[in-house]
Amino acid sequence: MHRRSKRMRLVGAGVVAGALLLGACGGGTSAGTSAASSTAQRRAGTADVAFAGSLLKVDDEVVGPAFQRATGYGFTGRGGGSLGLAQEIASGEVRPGVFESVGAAPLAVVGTARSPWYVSFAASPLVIAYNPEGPHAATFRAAAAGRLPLARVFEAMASPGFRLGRTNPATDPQGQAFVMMVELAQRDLGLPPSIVQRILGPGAATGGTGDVGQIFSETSLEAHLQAGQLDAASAFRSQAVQLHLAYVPLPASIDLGDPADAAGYAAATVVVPGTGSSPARTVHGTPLVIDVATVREPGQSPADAAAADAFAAYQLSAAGRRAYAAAGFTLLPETVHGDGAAVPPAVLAAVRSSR
Amino acid sequence: MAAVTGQVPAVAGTAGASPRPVLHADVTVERRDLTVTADLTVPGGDLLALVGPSGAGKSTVLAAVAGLVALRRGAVRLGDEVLATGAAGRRHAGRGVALHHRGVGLLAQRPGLFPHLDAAANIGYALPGGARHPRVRELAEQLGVADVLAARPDRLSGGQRQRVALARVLAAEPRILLLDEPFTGLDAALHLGVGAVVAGEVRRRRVPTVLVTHGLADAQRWADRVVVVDRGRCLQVGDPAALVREPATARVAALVGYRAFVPTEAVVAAGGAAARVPRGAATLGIHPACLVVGDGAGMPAPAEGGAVGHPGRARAVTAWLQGTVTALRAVGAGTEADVVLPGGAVVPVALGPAATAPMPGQPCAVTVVGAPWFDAAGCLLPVGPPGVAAGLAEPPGVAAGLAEPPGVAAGLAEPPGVAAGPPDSSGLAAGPGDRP
Amino acid sequence: MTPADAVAPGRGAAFAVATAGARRLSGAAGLAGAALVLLVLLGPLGALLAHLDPGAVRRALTAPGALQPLVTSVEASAVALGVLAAAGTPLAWAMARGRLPATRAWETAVLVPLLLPPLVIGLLLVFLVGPTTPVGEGLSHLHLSASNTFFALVLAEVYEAAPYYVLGAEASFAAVDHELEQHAALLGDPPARVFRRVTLPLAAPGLASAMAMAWARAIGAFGAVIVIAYHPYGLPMQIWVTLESGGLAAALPYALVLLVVALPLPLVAYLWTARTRPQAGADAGEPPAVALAGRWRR
Repeated sequence: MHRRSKRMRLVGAGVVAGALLLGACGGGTSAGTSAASSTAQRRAGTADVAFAGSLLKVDDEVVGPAFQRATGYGFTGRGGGSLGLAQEIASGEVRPGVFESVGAAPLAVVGTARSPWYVSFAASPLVIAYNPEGPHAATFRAAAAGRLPLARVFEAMASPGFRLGRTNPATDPQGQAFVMMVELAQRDLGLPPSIVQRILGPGAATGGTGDVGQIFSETSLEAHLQAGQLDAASAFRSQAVQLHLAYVPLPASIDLGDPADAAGYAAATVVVPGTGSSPARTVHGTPLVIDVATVREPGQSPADAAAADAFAAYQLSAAGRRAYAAAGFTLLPETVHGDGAAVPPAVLAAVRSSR
Repeated sequence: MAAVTGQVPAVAGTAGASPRPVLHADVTVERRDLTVTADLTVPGGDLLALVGPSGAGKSTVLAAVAGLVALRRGAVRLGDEVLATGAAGRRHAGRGVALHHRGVGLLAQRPGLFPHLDAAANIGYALPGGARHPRVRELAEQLGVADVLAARPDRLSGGQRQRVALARVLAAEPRILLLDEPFTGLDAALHLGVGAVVAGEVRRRRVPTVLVTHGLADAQRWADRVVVVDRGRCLQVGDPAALVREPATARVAALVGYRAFVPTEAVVAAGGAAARVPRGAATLGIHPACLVVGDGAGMPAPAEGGAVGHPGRARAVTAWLQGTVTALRAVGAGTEADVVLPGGAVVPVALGPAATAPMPGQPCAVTVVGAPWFDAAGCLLPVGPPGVAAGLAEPPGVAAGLAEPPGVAAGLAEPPGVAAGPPDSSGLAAGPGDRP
Repeated sequence: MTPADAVAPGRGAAFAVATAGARRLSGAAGLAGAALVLLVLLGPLGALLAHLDPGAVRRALTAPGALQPLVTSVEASAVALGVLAAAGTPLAWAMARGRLPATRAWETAVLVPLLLPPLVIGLLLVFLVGPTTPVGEGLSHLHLSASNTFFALVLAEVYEAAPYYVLGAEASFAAVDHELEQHAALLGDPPARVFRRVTLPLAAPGLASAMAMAWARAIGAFGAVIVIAYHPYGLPMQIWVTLESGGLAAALPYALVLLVVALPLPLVAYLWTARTRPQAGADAGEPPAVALAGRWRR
């Protein structure tokens, strides 16, 4: 009896201490620091950049190293879901100096205290990637080349036995965007209203599950397509370009990649089913715009703050924009949002020079 | 051959039993370090003992008969049925009757009780109804484990495990019984009881039985014939008593209890004519039970130890040696002396109650009665005319001419009945050292 | 008594105290080390319990359909375990008894799923059993698909759990004394009955803990599951999706459910193994002197 109570106390102590330990460590970060192979003079600060998962490849492999060479600052990148990252920043679990997000909603989560301004500079239009060896490849190829009307692609996707892959609207903006894109295509391409259900499964846009066989994780969707196990899959154009996927480009009116069409996008809605205790919510279409903002944290070193400003400026400079264009993003006129007076001079200079 | 000795209680029911087929095992087995070869023939109801040092290959022979190891050459037959044949060059013992059809009862050195079953379930493992079969309690009572029937093996002592395992083997009514050191861990009383149960079963059911033991006394007590095994070969097969009396070689002698080999002159009686073998060319085998130590009084002590062949004996002589007593100790009711013999060997000798104990450190006269002689190659030398055999213990009159010291006769006195028996069934087995 | 004699006991006592002290010290160090390990291992559990909001748990678990992932997980893991028991047990036995040609190769093959990150296993499974692969086409003839189906979930769980079960079972079969099996055979049991009456009961505690380990792996499988079985949601997928869409607080109740479901079986198996362990070594050593109660002695 005595032994047991002792053991119980020990377990209790372990649990409490473990909790403390975990709290002290905070959320883990998975960042890769690449040493500056400097052509510019090595400088003290490091730009810690958090970016949406879809920007990972271009930021980690192109923009980051180029920034290090050009400025001499260090660079650390971390990718993740925009919304998830925003929540971690807001709760102080991660403390990046720069945040690059897809859509403005995550920046609202971060809050104006940390990021009083942001600059939109690119868009990430949606495309339909397809399997070049699949049974419908000819239709897709012809549509991509403009030899067939785009409506034929949607009709092919609605045909029985077509294997479509998309991501989860409940967790991934691209998953939501793809559903809305299909709705917009039905509207704009003169397709019958039933085609939305036939492509996505019943209730996909209205709070139902849709065809759950189509849902894959963000990490593996393109792998399924590349393995030849899907006929077509949702993708950002940047993904299609960087992964060398065959794809059908979409008109700006339905690809959610043009801020000019924002009003048209807003007509498309998707009801995201609630999970657990969170209720279902309706999401309206918005352009998939990429914004960059610096994040100010109390206790941030001046050198790191300077590095963060330098990264934002580099991203908005001609070199940074070129990298994004090459990666398949659509470049937009750079636009400052929020408190314009708070924008650092270097960033402001970059924005002006882009015009 | 299957003479039941007086030591095994007579068991009823032998008359009705059908004759059992003969086990014939002519086996050659490759062991990692040794090639073991044996050719055994055991009639049903007979008990054959394998005797030899550890690592000689005794257990390997059992494993080969049981089918646990592959035969390199040879075959195991029970009557007309071939249980296994040699599979030269093959890795697995693929040829032969499957283990569960062999009907071999093997009591291994490790009892190998099933740890998840209680003693009763272990004993009844091969019986219909298992632990509830009446035979379980019957055997357990015979072997003295009836009060631990409900216990798991981990609650049993080593001796109890041994007996439960024996009961398990006997309960299965095997066609061949193989017992590997069945008496280890048993005290003297249990030893006798268990031996009697085994012998009774063997005789009653006419099972050919092979018993492995390193104790010659067990072999002599229970076995009809004894095989001396050394380094994977069978050195000598024979009647237990004859084997000790006339070991074919010095090596066999060493394995059956001879403690010292004293180089000395040999007197060889060939065709009635005595001839001297040069000193050192022959050795005298000394068994502690054949030694008599006197105080030297009245003994025609040879200057430097000597021996005289007895023309009346086939292969044994009576010899005198000069020894030195180094220590004395009480053993049972008598006394035992450590005697250093010429050549340096130390042999413990039981002193008869009538013997006058010599003092430690003093020289003493040692008489060896009925010692075998070996030539330089270790082979037994004939002493008397071939064909003339005699018991080891001489009636006092025989030795009279050799001027026996007093006490010799007393120390070796045989029970009259044994001495009077036929030469085959008397002998060392009844010697004072082996009498329980 | 010489002075040395007088001192010696004192010195001896001092030495004894010193060794006792050292023993206490090393004991304390051992305890501290054990406590640290416990702390590190149980830290996440502590964090989970510390961050759980009872109201959130109640809300999450009473929402309509909230228990469906639990049902899915339990069903899929049960099927996966059944498959492992049926196919893995004979394999493990054959490996333990060296009945397979190239045993090492088999062991390595079983290890592969353990050595590969589960995510990679999932991706490789796409190539192996995706709908347009030969295997996938064969499956479609059986009206099965290994993509986003219950079958796919079971498949992914089997791959993630198989090494734990097969290697664990192999070890427990290998621990069964082969001589006991030989004895059973000599006592007249054909191989199948030897297996049932001796091998299986003796290996059972080990098999149970291997099974428990496999259960925990299967029900917690995520890496391969997220690739080939995004749907239907089992508990790990439900946790992931809830985390992504609703944040940590919303996901934690499901983590608790996972823990509650995954833990009992391993725990029971562990307790059983601990209880039966002393019996396993029956032949190994002499028990403390048990009075020899032979009837001939009395």
